Parts: sequence; structure tokens; C-alpha cells
Amino acid sequence: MGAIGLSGIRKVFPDGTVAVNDVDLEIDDGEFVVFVGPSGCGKTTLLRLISGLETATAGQLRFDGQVINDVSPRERNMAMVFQNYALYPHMTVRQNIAFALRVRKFRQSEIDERVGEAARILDLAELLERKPKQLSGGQRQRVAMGRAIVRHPGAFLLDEPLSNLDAKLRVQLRTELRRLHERLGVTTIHVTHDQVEAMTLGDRVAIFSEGSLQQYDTPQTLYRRPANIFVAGFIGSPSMNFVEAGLVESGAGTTVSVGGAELALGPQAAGGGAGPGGRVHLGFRPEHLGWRRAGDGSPGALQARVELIEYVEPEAYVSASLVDPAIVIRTADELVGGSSDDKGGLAGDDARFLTLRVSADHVPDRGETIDLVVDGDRVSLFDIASGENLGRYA
Amino acid sequence: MLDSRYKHIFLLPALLALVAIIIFPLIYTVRLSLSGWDVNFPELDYIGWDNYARAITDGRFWDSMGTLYLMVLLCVVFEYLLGFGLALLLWKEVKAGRFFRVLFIVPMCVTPVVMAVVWRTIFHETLGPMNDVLSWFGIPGVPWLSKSGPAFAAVVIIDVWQWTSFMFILLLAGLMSLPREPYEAAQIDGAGPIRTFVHVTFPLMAPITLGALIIRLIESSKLMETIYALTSGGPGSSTETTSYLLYIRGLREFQIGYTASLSIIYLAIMIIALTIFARSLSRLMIGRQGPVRV
Repeated sequence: MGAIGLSGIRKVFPDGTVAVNDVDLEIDDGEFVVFVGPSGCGKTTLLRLISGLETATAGQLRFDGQVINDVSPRERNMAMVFQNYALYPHMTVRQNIAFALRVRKFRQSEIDERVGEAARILDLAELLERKPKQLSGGQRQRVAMGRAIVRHPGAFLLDEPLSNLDAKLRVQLRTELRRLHERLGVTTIHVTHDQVEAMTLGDRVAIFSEGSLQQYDTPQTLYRRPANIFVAGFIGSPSMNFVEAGLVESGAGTTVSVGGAELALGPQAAGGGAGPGGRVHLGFRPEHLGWRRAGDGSPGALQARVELIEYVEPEAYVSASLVDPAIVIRTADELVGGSSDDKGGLAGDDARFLTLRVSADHVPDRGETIDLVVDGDRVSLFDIASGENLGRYA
Repeated sequence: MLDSRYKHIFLLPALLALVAIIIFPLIYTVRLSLSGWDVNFPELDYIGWDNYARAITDGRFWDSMGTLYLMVLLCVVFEYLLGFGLALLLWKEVKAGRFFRVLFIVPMCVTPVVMAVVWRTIFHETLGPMNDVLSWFGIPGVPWLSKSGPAFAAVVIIDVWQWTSFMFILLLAGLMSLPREPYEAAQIDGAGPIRTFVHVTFPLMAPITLGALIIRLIESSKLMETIYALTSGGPGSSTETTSYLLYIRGLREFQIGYTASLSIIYLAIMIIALTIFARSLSRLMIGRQGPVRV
């Protein structure tokens, strides 16, 4: 019990804003799914639609195979943890956790047993008689979680429960959340704008942008085979590099030209419908870009100048500008319609960099001219017009 | 320390203003209460605690205190119930809600004496519309201002009519500032409207309610203008509040020294009573100390 299905879900607010646009999604029983996306992408609205706090304008919501569009939040058998926890300030921790059981008229002995069990699981036994204002952020988060698990619901809906915590506590509670899910095995939907949280917690991750589902897959697939430029740019830090390229050959032995260099690509980057002579966006992760001292005469290498080195031990991020002015470097934001100077922000619009992720023990010198070598087996090709990954389904 | 000296210099003007406005009149009243100043001997002599001894045995003073407390209690309870009810009605989007919000505030803006005069006409035994309306329901005419019970009720009705809007404004502002999340949590937890009111709205409103009640208690305990214009404390002394008695003793009989002693006793009792009341109410509504049963 606990499978959730969404078909053609759409939410339009009275002012005409389309918050959720035709979302189809299937969540298996016991699965941990993360909804991720930038602010205003509709992920929280979708969670509220599933909880029953909002009503869908169109589409079908299913829980355990039953259509629940017209079922009240109370009868959906789902528990929710809110971003700011929404604890009842005048009640003690014990009363907060027990409230849903009291409302459902459970026997006192059953309430005591369940509250005790939740307190044991979440290490809250010492705090049961305290009020929320006497608790730290992490403790409040655990109480909110206790309030959810005490009901033994069919699904947990978590709305950015870690976003109000400091970085260290967030990492700690992230682990606790994952461990709790493994222990309880209850279907969980976790909403976040933090891609690290999404990638570490989710069995599957749904990425949203402007109300639409962009991709729904395992974290590994999202990272390695992004469906489009938005996903490619959103997942991964530093972000994926994009350059404009020309298709020389498509099919099994795909080759692209970037400036004067030709790159032979692996099978995953097969050009899809694009034919030879077409223009594409070539995307590659910072760790799939190698470097050598200039003068090696490496075939297919791009000559670049090292502009900036950021040490994030044990790695370093190297920003390099290409010597060939004909090669157009693109940023994910400008390709999906956002701000355009994310990467060139330091030196104005003309200066666009490629980013390399290298070992901090072996970095080029700042100002040095180097050869960049793209790992042809790990690149993605994106359609210039639609931004879709051309090779993903080849 | 240089900083400390400057701090006191900067505080001095405010302290002087405070002394001039609050402390001096208070001290002067205490001094007056120890004098026999009246219409025959208008001088600040010293007669010791005589005025206080006389006040202790002044039955009319203690009766007025009893009348005041009963009146204040009834007024504030009705104002709270009606004000909270109206605020709850207009809290959610209601058609013409803004119009009603302004309408409910109007009574508070009217001068009490003017309203008392208008209400005296309304309560007139033979010519007033109140008895007319009652007669539609077969209720015989009520001697509103000529019998103790109805006169007492008339004063309470006017005060409630005038000051319910104050409760309404404070409580509506409180309701509108409540966070949305506990309500959504209650909805998910399965609480219906009544349970949500009892377990979410009412407790969340407790601090604002407490503030509103205390402000109204302080204000109501000074009830004077309505009584002056409506009943003059009568019939007999059935609507005579302490403030009105102080007015009679001080400004009609010019027993300045004695009135000062009554004022001091009244002030002391009010401070003690309000402190006890505020603490009990606070403990009841917010504190809820002691073992917690789920």
C-alpha cells in the first residue's frame, strides 16, 4: 500500500498562473521520490495537490489504485511535514505527536504506545514534555517527523523539511531521514530545491521547471543521461559545460566539430534525428574535461587559457577561456532562458569559461595556455532549438 | 565611566517628563489624602490616616466598588464573546467584508456622553423605541432607567454596544496574523472546524485575547461618562461606580482630601485585582502548567 499515481495533473490559480502543467508520474509503494527544481517550479504545489491541501484543476490523482481527487486531506492517509514544521506552539512535544491520534479517537493506551515508539525511533524521549519554543531547529524537525510517523500513514509528504537548518545539521538529518525510510519502508515524497539533497536521498528524482516535469529517473541516470539542457544544467555542481558544435557524422560513429577540432563521440551521444551538417549543443561535465600542457599536439584538443582556479580540497575547479574566438560557449541559464552571464560574470559578457574539475594536486598555473581534451564517451548532444538530448534514446 | 555618564544625561529629559506627568500627580494625591482639604478648609494641612479610616467604614464606597466589578465583568465578557464572534465571521473572505469592518468600528468613535444621551432616548419608558420593539414580541414595557436592575442592564448594553468594536478590531487583527501552517497541519491531522477552533485558533489567539481583555478591564473600570449622562448613578445608587462616586465626593461635595484617599485605595485595589486577574488568566490561557495529559 502506498503507490501514488498522477495523470495529466494541472493546477491553475485564480489569477491565471499555471503552477503545475500536465504532470504524469508513478511512484511505487515504498519508494523514496524527491521533487526538485528552482523556486516557483511548482514542486510544492504538486505536493499540496497530493496531500489534498490544494485541488487539481485537471487530471487524476491515485493512491493505492483509488482515485483521490475528491477525498479530503484527513481521509487520504498521508502525513505531511511542513517547511517550518507547523508544530502547535501551545502543545508539548507529546501533545503535538499525539494530536492526530486524539482526533481519530484512538484509545489512550494505543496513543501512549505509539508516541513512545515514535519518541524512541526519533530519540525524543527526553523532550516529550517540552514546548516547541524550547527546542532547537533539528529537534523541531524530529518532532514534526514524529507527528507524521505516529499515524502509520500510507505515505509521507515532506515539504523542504531540512531547508531551515544549518549545513551541518542538514547533512546529519539527511542521513537520519534516509535511515528512517529504510526502517519504515513507507512511500515518501520529499520536496527540495537542493540538488545534493535530491541526489543523495531519492530512489528516483523528479525535476521540475515552470510547472512541467522535465525528467523522472534515478539520480545516476539524471546525472549521466539528462533529458534536456535544463536537467543537464540543474544537476551537477559545477554545472555542465556547453559549446556549440557541428555534426560531421551521425549514427554509430558520431563525430562533431568544435572550432577547428573534431571529436569522435561514444554511442550514447548518437545524433538522434540530426543529420550531418546540423548544429548541436555539446554538453560535458567538468570532470569529463581533461587538460595537458600546450604543445602536446593532441589531436581534437581545444586550446585554452587558465583564468581562475578555485580550490575545493581535494579537488580544484579550473575556469578556462578558449583561445579560438569562433567557438561559442553557452551557459545552461541562457539556453533555457535565464540570466546569461553565470560563467562570464567575473569578466563581463565576452569572457565565457569552460570549467574543469581536477585533482587539487595537479593543477595548471593561472594564465597558462593549455590543451583541453573532452572525453568523447561521456558527452551529451542537445538539439539547438528544443534543448532535448539527441542521444538519450538512440 | 564616560559612557555611563552620557547615558544618564541623555535619559534625564525623559525621566523629568515622566516625573512631571506621572510621579508628581501621584505623590501629590497621596499628600492630599493625608489632609483635611474640603470646601470649608481648602488647605494642605496634615490629619494623618483619618481619611483612610473613614473610607474603610464608608459603605457607599464599597458598594460602588461591588457595582463596578459586576458591571466590568459583564461588559468585558459580553464584549469579548461578541467581538470574537464578529471577528471570526469577518476573518475569512466575506462579501462586503471591508464595509462591515468599518461599520463595526463606528460605535467606538462616538463620544460616550453623546451616545448616552441617544441611548437615554432609546430607553425612554414610553417614547423610546426599545420598549416598542419589545412589545412586538409581547414583552411588556421595561422601566429601563427607573428601576435598579434594568438601569444596570442599560449601562452594560451601552458599554457593550460601544466597545465590542474595540475587541473586534484587536481580535480580527490577531486572527489575520495567525500562521497558516498549523491550520494545514490540523487539516492533515484530520481535525474538523470545532476541534480546529478549540485546539488551534483559541490557543494561538490566547496572547492577543489576554492583551485585549486586560486593556478593556482597565478601561471599563473607569466607567463614568455613560453613568453621568444616563443614570447619574441611580436609581438610588444601583449604577453608581467608584469613578462616579469619586466625582460626587470630589467635584460636587469638594471633599478633596477624602476623595484623594478614596482614589488611592481604589488605585491600590485595581492594581492588585488586575495583577491577580492577569496572572490567573495568563496561566489559564497560555501557561497551562503542571502535568500534561494527552
